[in-house]
Amino acid sequence: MSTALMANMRPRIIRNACVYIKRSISAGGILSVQKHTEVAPHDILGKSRVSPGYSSVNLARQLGVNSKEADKYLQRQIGSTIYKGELLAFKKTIFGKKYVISPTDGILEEYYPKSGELRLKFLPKAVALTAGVFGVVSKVLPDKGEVFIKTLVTEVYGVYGFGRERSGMLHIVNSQNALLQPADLTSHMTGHILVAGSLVYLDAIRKAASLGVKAIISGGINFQDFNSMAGHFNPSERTDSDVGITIFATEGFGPIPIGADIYSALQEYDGRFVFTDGNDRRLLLPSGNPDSILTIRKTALPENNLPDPFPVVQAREITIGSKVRIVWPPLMGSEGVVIGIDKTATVLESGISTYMLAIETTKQKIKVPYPNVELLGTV
Amino acid sequence: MPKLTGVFETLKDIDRVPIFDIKQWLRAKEQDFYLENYIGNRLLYPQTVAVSEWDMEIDLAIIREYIKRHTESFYDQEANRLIIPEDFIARFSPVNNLISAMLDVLTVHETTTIIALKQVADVVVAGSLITIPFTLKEDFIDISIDDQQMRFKVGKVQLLPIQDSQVKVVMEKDSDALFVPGGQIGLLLDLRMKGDRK
Repeated sequence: MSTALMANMRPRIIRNACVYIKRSISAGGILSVQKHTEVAPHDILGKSRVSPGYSSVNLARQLGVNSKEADKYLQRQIGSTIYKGELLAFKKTIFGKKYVISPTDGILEEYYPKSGELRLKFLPKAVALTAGVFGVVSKVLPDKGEVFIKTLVTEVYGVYGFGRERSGMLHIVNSQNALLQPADLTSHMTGHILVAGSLVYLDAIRKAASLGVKAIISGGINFQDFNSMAGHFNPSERTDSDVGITIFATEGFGPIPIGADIYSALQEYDGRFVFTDGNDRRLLLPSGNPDSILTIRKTALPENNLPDPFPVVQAREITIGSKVRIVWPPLMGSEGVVIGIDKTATVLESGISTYMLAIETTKQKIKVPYPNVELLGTV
Repeated sequence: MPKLTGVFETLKDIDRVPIFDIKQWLRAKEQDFYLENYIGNRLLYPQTVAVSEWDMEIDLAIIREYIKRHTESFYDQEANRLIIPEDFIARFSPVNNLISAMLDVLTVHETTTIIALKQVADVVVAGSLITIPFTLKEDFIDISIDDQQMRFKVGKVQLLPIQDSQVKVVMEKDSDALFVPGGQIGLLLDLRMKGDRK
């Protein structure tokens, strides 16, 4: 064998990258931060009032009247405020009195004569938009409610994904090998970015979306499930799809454990605020070091610093000591070090003639055809 | 250096082929989600190669369905040429299995067909395919190749790696000699039973 053996090197983790992140306030909110301000994660960028949702009371059933007449017994007008425990409706009959008490603080939003339901909108609560990162505010767009902050992050790139940019607390649900099922999901995960394991099922994705989970990171999802949500798969194109939740896969299709390199980075960030964009297959882990501001101050970024669609995958020579990831079964997803390169070709059971690599993982030593590995790129 | 790629990167819309069509070529049953994930991973990592016999069987099933949908790219009926992209040769080895898979979905009209290799900038003659024109009843057949009598087992496509520019072939029951080109691939004899042919 005279020619060097080559393999693709796909950058998966890029440390200490200076990037812009976007923080958005909900409609009607007011931004209070100024451009060039240095911020820390808990600094407030602005405030908004947000209604957390609705409740309903079946007035007709509780009063024992026809649904078309129940609203006559309301003690407050539609559009007025009521507090928990106050009298909502009252009816006096020859048999006695019927009271309907408000179950919550709220605003009487609408009465539906067909069903007899009264809809209560929860009282808006003041919500602060925090920076979430150490950084410098580079742009404020009050009309759009957006703030761009220059910050230092670790970028993690997956192999495919879909869904717009979302942010939230990272929460490791399962081990690297586990399969995420609907029963694993609880209402405590609302607003979180979940680390699932080797596979997340379609019905788990649906349940997560209904619970308000922001995103799920997994080793893989089933190809059919991906296509049903993202439309079509083209590995060299950005997916432009959003179904209400962001999905980010690190290894391939089907159940494949999250690679050890990415999983250890995620473990460092369990319980911390992170950003993810499924369409760009990118996860941003902001630096938690206050001294990162020194680097951020010194780093100039172009005004419209858009990231490369994906980091460039390049072919590099495989050498003894190269860190590799196996990208075809058996042992797809395993990571190891090259400890030997065969000098003569082997004919595989499939009939293909190729050169084998001896690879040492944490658990075993194996032989793998050299086309079936990728070089691990940690920058 | 630009990234490594492979055959599966060139197979447009292969993920849209119904799984049922691919499954029909497999000897053993396989679950739909396994095959779907297999195709997805081939698109994601096109540089990878089949390791097991089962991997290769699935790969050939996929390639059959692709060829079936793009016959004009693989068989030039006017020129009587079977066209094989050069990178298919190493990827779907051995070549007689690849030719056999192609013949499962292409109808070759003539007794002799030129095999052409499609390279980056050119198409070169790489050998010939001889389709035995009569029904094979025995287990073996005797054919003369360049005046050498040879006995072949019936039932599959046989490969003779003959690089000569012209090869003389005399069939068992046919007294007329055929003169066909050899080449990088060589001479292929379609000795499959008639019922196995398209």
